[in-house]
Amino acid sequence: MAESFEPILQVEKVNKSFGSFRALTDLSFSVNAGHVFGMVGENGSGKSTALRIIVGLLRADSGTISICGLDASEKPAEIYHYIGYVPDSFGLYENLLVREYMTFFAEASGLEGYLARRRISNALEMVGLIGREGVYVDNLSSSMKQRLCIARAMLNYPRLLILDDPMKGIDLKNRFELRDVIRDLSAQGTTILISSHMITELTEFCTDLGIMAGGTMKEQGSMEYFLKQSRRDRPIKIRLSGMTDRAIEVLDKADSVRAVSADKNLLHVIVDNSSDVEAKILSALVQAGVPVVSFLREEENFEAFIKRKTGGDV
Amino acid sequence: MQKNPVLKREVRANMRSPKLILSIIGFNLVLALSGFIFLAFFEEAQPLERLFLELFFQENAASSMSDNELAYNSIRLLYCLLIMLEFVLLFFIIPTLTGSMIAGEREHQTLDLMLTTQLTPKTIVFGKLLAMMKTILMILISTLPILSLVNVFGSFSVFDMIASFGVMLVVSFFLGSIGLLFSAWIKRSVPATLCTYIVLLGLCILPLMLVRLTPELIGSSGGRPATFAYTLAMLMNPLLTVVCLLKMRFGAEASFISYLESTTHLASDSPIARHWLIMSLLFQVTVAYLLVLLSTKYLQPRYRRREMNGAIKERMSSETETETEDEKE
Repeated sequence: MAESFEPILQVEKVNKSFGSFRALTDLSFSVNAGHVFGMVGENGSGKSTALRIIVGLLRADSGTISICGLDASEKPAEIYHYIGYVPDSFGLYENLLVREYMTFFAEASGLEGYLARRRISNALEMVGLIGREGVYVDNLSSSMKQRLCIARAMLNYPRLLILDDPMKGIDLKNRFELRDVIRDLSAQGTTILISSHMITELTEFCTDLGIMAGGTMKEQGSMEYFLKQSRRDRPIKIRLSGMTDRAIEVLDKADSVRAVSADKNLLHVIVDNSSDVEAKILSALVQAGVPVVSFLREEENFEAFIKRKTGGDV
Repeated sequence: MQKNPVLKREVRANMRSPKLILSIIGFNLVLALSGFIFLAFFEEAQPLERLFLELFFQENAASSMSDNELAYNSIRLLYCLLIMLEFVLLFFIIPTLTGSMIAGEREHQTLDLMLTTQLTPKTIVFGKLLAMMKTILMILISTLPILSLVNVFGSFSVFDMIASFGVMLVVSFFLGSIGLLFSAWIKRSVPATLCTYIVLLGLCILPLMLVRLTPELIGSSGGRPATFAYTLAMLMNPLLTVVCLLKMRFGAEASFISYLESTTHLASDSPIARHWLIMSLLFQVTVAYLLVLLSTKYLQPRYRRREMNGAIKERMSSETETETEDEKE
């Protein structure tokens, strides 16, 4: 994957209202070139609105959007050349063949003749649909339809591919296929901005994450940063057969322990994140003669962590 | 014209749809059956034919016609009946064709995809309209054999057929532009189709009813001429255009002009009244064009500009050259 810190998309203080409903409030975030940026948030948090504004289908009330260094409102002609957009619905003409569907969008993107044919076959190859050109779109599976949408968006070799909830309505097996396609595109250097409510899937291929809530970007950072944060907040549960006070005393003295709470013989210990923190604590307790019955780092999945962050129902 | 990808796709999709075949079959079946019924019951229907001839074309002449003269005129009446039927069928078909053209794209969320390409709203709307016109053209061409059968009796010339064909095309363009406007304005297909029917019905019937029922409303009471707006409404009335065409073919132009004189603010010697058919067709084409332009307004994504095409084409041509060179290497 191409590592770069040059922002390919920069959204600054974008506001959007629909009548009295405020969909976006001072939305700001950026996506670096070569990265896969995942946008997560509860339903109605403004993800799709933000994406529609970025691709120019909606006008922001205020704020600026720059794509590849160009102001989206100043240089719309250039912008359309740099982006590929896959909306949250398939957007397919089911009575066309795959080849005809792709040809239509190639021509709509100004591609003709040899160049169009080459781009079509490249795009279909990228998403693993080569050999399906003669199939009616209607006869494709959900995953294939979604991949066809991505192929369509890749026709103009966009520098920024925008996917609005591509996993929606796709079963588990097909989701894996789609995930592989997105991974491949990312590996080829395409910057991807993806919104999804499938947080677990996002963790597998996103390099960055933005958490949206109430029409604003609540937190943005690298996936590593969020994973660390989620691990750090997981408490250690220690069950004892006695000597609870002694155990609390030992734990209070330990460097990496941030907080200890006790519920009879069950201790909840919040610790700083370091590699051997569990080993150190267990060793200290055993050395102090505390009878440890069980010692467990509580598992909180990433989805629950994000849900906690957004305070919603992601 | 074929450079328009929307037109190409629409035509391709229409050709595959059973709707086109069914429309053509239905259209011709109605015309053929009507003609057959007319001819089959010719003898029994003579009093009715006399009445129609008197009412619409020859006024008092029909009552004094011999049976042979009536027979000759009846064939012409059959032709008029078929042309009127054609108009009525187009009146019902066009809103169903256009109602879902833009609204359907919105419902399937394909409009957004098109708008994120280089297609301008104008290209999309004109592509759709031309595709509809191609469908109508095919339907009209398919009816030519039936109309030609009437021509065998010698009552009408080829020129009459060409003239009626041209008028039907222009009227279809006008009706289609209204349907397309509603399809672009109203987001759902069914309400868009219904609104088109209501407006078209109002456009065809209302001006004719107003002048009979409430002449005060259009300002023509007490011998005063009707308002200019009413005259424009009459010019925009496709039903009146078709009636004018038929009256002209029957040599009843004078009665039509006197009807105009009595209902609009036009004098019988005014150029608009004397060339009503051409004037109304020109007016309808102009209005249709303006309506199509108005339709594009409802498709405008906010950041798009018209000059985008030029900029991108320039860029694409330079890329094409680069890619072709790469490929050769």
